[in-house]
Amino acid sequence: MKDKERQRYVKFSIFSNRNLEISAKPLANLVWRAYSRLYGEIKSGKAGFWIIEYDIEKQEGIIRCSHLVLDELITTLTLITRIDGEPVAIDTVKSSGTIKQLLHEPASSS
Amino acid sequence: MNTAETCIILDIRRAGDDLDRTLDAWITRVERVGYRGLILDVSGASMNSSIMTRINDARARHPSFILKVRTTIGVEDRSKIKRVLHDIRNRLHVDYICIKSTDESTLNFTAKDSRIDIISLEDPDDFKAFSPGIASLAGQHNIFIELSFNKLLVSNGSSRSRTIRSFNKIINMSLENHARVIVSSFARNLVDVRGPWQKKITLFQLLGMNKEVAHDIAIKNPRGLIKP
Repeated sequence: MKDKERQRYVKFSIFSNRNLEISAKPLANLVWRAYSRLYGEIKSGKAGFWIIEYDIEKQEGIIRCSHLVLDELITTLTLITRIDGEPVAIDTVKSSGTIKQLLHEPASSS
Repeated sequence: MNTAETCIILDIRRAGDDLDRTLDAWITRVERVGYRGLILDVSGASMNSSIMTRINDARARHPSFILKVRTTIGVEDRSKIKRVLHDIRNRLHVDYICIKSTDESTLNFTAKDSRIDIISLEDPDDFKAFSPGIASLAGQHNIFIELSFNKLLVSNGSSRSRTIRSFNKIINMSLENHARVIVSSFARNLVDVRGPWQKKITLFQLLGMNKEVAHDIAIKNPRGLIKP
């Protein structure tokens, strides 16, 4: 029997030498493109993730995804090395089954 | 997470007077992503008393953090290896000695030398020199086999596929011969560092290995290196 799809929330933080002026939507597109390059168009069509919160000032946010693609999403974020030509690292801070647990999580990995 | 980042490349000459600030920035960055220790690669720099003092000062400023120093020596000619390794620890004042070579007989010789801590396979030419015999000797002599996580980060498309294939080959060879593998960041800039959790999942995903092996490579083995 197929595993029932559940939501997972991933808190992430972008580390860069200067502040980036990228908003949630272009960032989501960038993640989609990176995911699609890595896992292909068929998988990316089923991945169903979205940035549900992003703070431009702090460069922190939360992405929602299916638990079936959690590891793939983390791998995609890990392998992103540039945003708008600026070298970056996207640090995944924590993942959780509920958004509530991530809202007050400090931006350092557990 | 109690583990260490096992290779940050520090250009001491470039850091110059900013060395204290550079060391603090590295420690802050790796702590932030979840490491409790760090090995700085200072290859090419002479570890004089002034540099050692500043590294010790950084240790004092971050008492709960483990800061170690390594050097990577490239040797291409087996006949020179004995001279290179003679009294090496006292000469270089580092915690770990790493060897890098594209010559199989040199790697074969160093894999049974207890002065060596790590055989570093950073480039495709190094991969070709590695063999099951070297893995077996390294396993018997408690020498770690090191790959570069940066190679996975910077490559793309077919180049990344080739890297993944080489990594799989070396990791399988090492596991079959009981040699411990580490995947170090080889970071030259703060943005090149990724946390141990991300490293583990990326290795598991890209290399198709099981999660226990990925955990050993990303977390357990680096911990074993820094806290023997």
